Amino acid sequence: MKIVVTVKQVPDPNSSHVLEPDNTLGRDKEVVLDPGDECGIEEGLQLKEVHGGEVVLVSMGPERAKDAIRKGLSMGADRGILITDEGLSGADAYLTARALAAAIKAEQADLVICGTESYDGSTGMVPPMLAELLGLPQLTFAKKVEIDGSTVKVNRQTADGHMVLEATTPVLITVTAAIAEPRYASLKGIMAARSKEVKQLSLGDLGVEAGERAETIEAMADAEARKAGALIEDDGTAVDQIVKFLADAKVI
Amino acid sequence: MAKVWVFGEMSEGKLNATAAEIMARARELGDVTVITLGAGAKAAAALLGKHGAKNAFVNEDPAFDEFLAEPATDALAGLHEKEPPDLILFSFTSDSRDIAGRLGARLGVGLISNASDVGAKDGGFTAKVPYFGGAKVASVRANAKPAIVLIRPKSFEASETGGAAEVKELTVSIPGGSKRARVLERVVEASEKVKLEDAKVVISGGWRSSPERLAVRWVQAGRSSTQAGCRTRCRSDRPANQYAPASTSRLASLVRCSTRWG
Repeated sequence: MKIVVTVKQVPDPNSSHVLEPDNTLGRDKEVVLDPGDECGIEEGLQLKEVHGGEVVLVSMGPERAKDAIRKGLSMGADRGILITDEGLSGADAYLTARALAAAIKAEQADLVICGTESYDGSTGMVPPMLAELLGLPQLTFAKKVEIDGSTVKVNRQTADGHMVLEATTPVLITVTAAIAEPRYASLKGIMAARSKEVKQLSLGDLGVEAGERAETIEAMADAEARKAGALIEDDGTAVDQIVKFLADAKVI
Repeated sequence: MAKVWVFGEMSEGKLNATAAEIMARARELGDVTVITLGAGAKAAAALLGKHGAKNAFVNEDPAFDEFLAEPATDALAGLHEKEPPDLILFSFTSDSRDIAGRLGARLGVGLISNASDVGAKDGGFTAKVPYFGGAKVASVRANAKPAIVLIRPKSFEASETGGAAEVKELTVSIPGGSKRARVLERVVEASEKVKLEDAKVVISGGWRSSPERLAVRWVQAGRSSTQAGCRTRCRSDRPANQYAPASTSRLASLVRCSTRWG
């Protein structure tokens, strides 16, 4: 079974984020493999352990995004593909999906695993667009995946429980953080990752035209500042004071 | 007037509440056509008529409930071919996300996701999109037509205008090739909890400020039933938005208390 996992390098969630003048996210600071993608890689590795095959990581980003791929390789993935091109700077979800689709199409994967949404962009739109462009069915928000031959069964997280979904391969799935606890890379894994292949592709290699962006960020503003709240020191009557405050405000 | 579509997401015969919320803004932007697909579509369209939709296209083919995303994408793309709109609004909920993404790629127009507002500007449409947990808000312009925007739940307050939509049957032919992601079963996991976004009032606080005590008092005052939830960091290298639920005896006792009082 050939499994492709899409991965993204994002600003470290534990660091502060800086916007460039063109409203793109500054990536010269600390960057990490998207924690949601770690779960996707883990699921891919677990499926490979049971069903055999290969796990290929596909990413789009600047050259340093190779570090994110390398992290996934050190967890145990087999090889990586990085799409990097000046024309992709500030790409929207649609252009991202087109670039990824071109690279993944050539892989002829049985299973494409994506996170539900990236930590930084959070549009959640690349996976369904990718499924459409690849002509695959999509099983989304999976918290459990079972594969029997060519049948893929997924428990999809819903607001009040889950749905059981089924499709036959090839298929694209998106996984939630509940799918699997990502493993830590072993020293052996880190050493082995150094010699694993990471192929670099440009838009020209993929035959993709960047074209006009589907959307433009016109302005970025700070959200309306919250008004200062009242501070109540707890001298034993704080609860009563807050209840009175809420009652006066007719909230309760 | 701009032609605006609002997609009414259906689940097991019920209309997702976000569609009525979106109507509150959509009807200010142009003439609204709602599209509802699957069991209960006709009743849902009538309801959205009361919220200001002028026209509605409905189809109750069981394929819309049995298969994810693709049949609905086919239906919308088919209607787009006949009567292209200027703007298509979806709710930022699971099923709509799947459909909108496929539609945006199929029409080659992209889309704006996770928006908290949408408005007309310079003959086109711009949306407000919160980033970094709402600390920043971007104004994003849709460059292609139709503009597709996904609106977060609770962005607008639903209100009825008292109108009625002209409801038409949407003719669709769903190819067998689109019946792939099959829904085998829908499981409701027993929980009496209110979803956070549906709660009327949320009391929160750190451990020391003891929101539980406040909640207990509230319940004792006979105000309403109360539920406790807890979010805690599960691993230090995870981003702050990925939490695992946790339970403690203190919270458990509060839940018991609320059951008694609620």
